[in-house]
Amino acid sequence: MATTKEYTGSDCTGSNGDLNRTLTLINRAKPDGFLLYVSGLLLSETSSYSIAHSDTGSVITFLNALFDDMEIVVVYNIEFSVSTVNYGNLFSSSRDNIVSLIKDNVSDPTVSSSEFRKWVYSREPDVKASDFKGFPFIIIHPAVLSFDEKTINGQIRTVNWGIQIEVITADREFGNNDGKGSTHLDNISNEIVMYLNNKSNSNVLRQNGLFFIDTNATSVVVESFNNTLIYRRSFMLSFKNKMKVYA
Amino acid sequence: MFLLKVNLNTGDMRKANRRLKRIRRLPEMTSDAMMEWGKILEGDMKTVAWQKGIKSFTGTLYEEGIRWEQRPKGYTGRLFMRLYALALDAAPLGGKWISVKPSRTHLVAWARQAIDGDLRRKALLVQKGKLKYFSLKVRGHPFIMDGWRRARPKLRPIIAKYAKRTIGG
Repeated sequence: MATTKEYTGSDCTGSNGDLNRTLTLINRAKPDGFLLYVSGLLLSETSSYSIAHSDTGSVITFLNALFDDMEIVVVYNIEFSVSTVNYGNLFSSSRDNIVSLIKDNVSDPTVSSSEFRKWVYSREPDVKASDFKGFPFIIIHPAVLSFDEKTINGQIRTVNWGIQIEVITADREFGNNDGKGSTHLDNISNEIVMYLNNKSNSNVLRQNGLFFIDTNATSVVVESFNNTLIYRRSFMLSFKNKMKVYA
Repeated sequence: MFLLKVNLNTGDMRKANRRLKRIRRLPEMTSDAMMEWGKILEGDMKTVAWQKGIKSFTGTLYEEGIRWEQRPKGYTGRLFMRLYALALDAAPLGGKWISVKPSRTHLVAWARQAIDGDLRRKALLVQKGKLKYFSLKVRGHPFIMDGWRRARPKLRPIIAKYAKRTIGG
């Protein structure tokens, strides 16, 4: 699933009209299907730009002069970082892979593509704390594990994972985001379901030991908190694998 | 001579037989599903209590003070909660006047830890016997229904997951 992000020249490093200005993408882009447009023109790699990838993101360097008012459109597939699940990391890797998938793909509706805001948590954040970054936010709970059938020596077992994802939005927000609790909830939920059901994403998860991904969404719970309406929807994810459970 | 031979260990019959065996495991799976949901209910109840500012008076409310109990393969689960948390939930929202007197030891102990300095001083006087009693207006802090409302929709997907794993898996 290709992601389209829009920027302007002013989002890049350097000054107006400079050569070699750089633009940092907050996700790591896959080389396949990467397209870069500046003022509507498709640029070609090596002659017009170069791209470098790191674990946290990708950096595009514009080789020619780039002006602040130029519109930049980047179309790319996000490569989310995954680790293979084995008997030594049954809890951590399974959750980390889901966190990575959600963080790298689902877009925050309250900030632009060049900004970053902490909005994925492992537990309920303290919404009254001074460093709370605001609504909406996503909670990805720790994985729940259960075992089924096993081989005679007990080395290979069917492992079932359950991970709960909660999306929480609020009606009372700043500026344009005020009163959009329900809209944000649906938009974020749409993206979560879309990326979890995406074939290439489920293939990546499968290659790393998480088979038979199944997503079930709950109904929306509306709560009142600090005179604000809060919308909450949960996703109950489950995976399965028949694997070695000890060395 | 026979017209038709049906072997339970071949083809569709084998599949049907296997599925029937799985159906027999359904009650066991229901119990497991209930246990998983019970733990979620426990967690949601603790989160809501924390968000509503319920203090852990005995220091154990957020540990075993709110807990789900179920026998490993039992069909009945129970959510246990400290009595003072239940009382806070059930107290009238509009508030009511109560007397803080020496015979109400828990109440006096609670008043001794209050943020309000005047209340702490009066509670100390009551404890020392220098003051017979004093009146205090208390109000409820309902949180149990919110915890229930948050956890209840999660039951259905969990049961569906276990049913799928048992029969359809």
